[in-house]
Amino acid sequence: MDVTLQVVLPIFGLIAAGYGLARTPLLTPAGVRGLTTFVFYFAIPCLLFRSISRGADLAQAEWAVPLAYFGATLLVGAIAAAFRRLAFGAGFEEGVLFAMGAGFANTVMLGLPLVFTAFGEAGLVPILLIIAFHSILLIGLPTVLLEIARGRRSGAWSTVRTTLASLFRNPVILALLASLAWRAGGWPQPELLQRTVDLAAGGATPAALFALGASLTGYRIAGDLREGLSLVAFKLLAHPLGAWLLCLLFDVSALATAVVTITAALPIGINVFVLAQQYDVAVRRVASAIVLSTALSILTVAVLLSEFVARAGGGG
Amino acid sequence: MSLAIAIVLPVFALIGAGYLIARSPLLDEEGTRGIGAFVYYVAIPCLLFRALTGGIDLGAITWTVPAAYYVATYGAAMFAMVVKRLAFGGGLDALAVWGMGIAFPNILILGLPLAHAAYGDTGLLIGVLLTTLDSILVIGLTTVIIELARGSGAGGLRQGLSVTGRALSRNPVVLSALFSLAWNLSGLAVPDTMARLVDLTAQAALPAALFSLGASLAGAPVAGDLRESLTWVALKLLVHPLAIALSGLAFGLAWRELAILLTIGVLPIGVNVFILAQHYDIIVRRTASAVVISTALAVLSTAAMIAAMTARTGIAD
Repeated sequence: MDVTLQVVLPIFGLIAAGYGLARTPLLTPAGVRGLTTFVFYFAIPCLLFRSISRGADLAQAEWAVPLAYFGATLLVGAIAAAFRRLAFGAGFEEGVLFAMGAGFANTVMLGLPLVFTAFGEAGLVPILLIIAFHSILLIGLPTVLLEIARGRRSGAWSTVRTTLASLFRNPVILALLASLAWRAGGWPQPELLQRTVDLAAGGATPAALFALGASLTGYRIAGDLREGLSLVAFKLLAHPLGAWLLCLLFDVSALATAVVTITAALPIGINVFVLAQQYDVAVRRVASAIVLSTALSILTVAVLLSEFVARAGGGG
Repeated sequence: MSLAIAIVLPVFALIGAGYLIARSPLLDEEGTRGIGAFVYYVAIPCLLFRALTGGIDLGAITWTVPAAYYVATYGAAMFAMVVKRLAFGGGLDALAVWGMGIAFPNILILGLPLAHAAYGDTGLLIGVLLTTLDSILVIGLTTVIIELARGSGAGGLRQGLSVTGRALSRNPVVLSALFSLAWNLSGLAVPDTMARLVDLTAQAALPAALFSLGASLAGAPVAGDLRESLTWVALKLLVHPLAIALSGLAFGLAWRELAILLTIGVLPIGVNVFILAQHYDIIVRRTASAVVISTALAVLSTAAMIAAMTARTGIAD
């Protein structure tokens, strides 16, 4: 069977299983939050620690990777906002959310498991470079713009400070930093620590995918579907296209190009909904776009994966 | 480093991590139930399916293994109930919970990983067999006794059987074990995509189960009459394995089988005992304490037992 399907079908099968169980009374919204806590505060940090402190070498990072990825994200975001203004009329705040949705991929709950399954530890270096700057840039910038739009310049400054501070409470970022420090310091890794971390890290991929699917039951497809679908098109088509072009431009290596492009082809991340809700802007449209983009991303991810795997002549 | 410690400590470290996070504001009781739902309804069924269909030889187990185990288990439980009646008193319902504490070690979450790591596929297979039988022979029986003690005669019996039947028909562990066994016996091949999905999901079973065990212990504070709880724990960790040793020798079990049963015998009291006690509101705090204390002590009892058994038989995979 095609390598791509072997990677993609189980991943989306788990997302569907999570969605299915969360539709029953067995798994409540509060239960989904508990599962997310297990993933986000425990299993993924252990996966990162295992990979970074022993395997994936971030010293070999290509700095063109974040340049290409975030360059494409800002570019696509700007084009998306301009398109929205032409197609659906004015509305600065809606434009900000639209641009954010076009460029904000689900890098942690879906990107990490997918890249890890498809490319192994070698693929983690580029996606971790993206994750390291992802939330500060792509949550920070839209929040500042929304604050300014509401005429709160002081609000914009305090937003910058809050965003920075929240980074140091983000377990994924903290695990990244701690693992880098551990590796740089050449600190010992007793066998018991390794075994414990390995045991815990094994839960990261399946539990993350399941929790992602379960959390999608909280979103309904509603509101203006034309706008929601064009947002999905920007996210799933324009964003990876832009990222791929910039990778060519910046001469990024083949593996990193594959990871960057596939990361850009991931569906819209749940943080976009959190912000939409917080500012009460385009809430239903964003919710619809998250569900639709997650369902449709099985196609974009499968196509891109088979394209890149065919080029590389083998999968991870 | 000793093999036993290398197997046992990471397992308990994950339980500790779940306990600590559940004591923080990050994880509340409802969230812990969510992790449990993923573990029981999704991850463990996939683990059982993989274990029971993956070219495993079901003929490797003889009937003497469960026979020796349940003779010892019922014997130890009855002995413990007599001890409680004489030393602490209590009605038939409390005695039933107490007996279940002896007869219901945490095989599903702790026994399967430990037995698998220490004794290979045979360990896993015996663990799966006993955890499935336990839901009928131990949970079922305890429920029937409690309903009998509370209801009047035949009405109580009927009530107990129907509660047990309903619980069994919805128990994901029992259902998935039966489904997997049927699949194994049918000789059908597992389609490739399904095998990959099951493998991926099963990876989460142990870490998530251990974490959720720790988290659920955070909701079971150590309280109540500690003298009684400590006696209970001592009976579980000493009398149950002793009874297994005697019965195993009497049934003439092979050393490897005996080693597996003894390791199961020194497992802590299963969380289901606490759930049952809570459901019927019988000696809830003493049960909570006994589950927590026995789980903490089991890091020693299991490491010691695995060390002794692997030294004696030289078995390890």
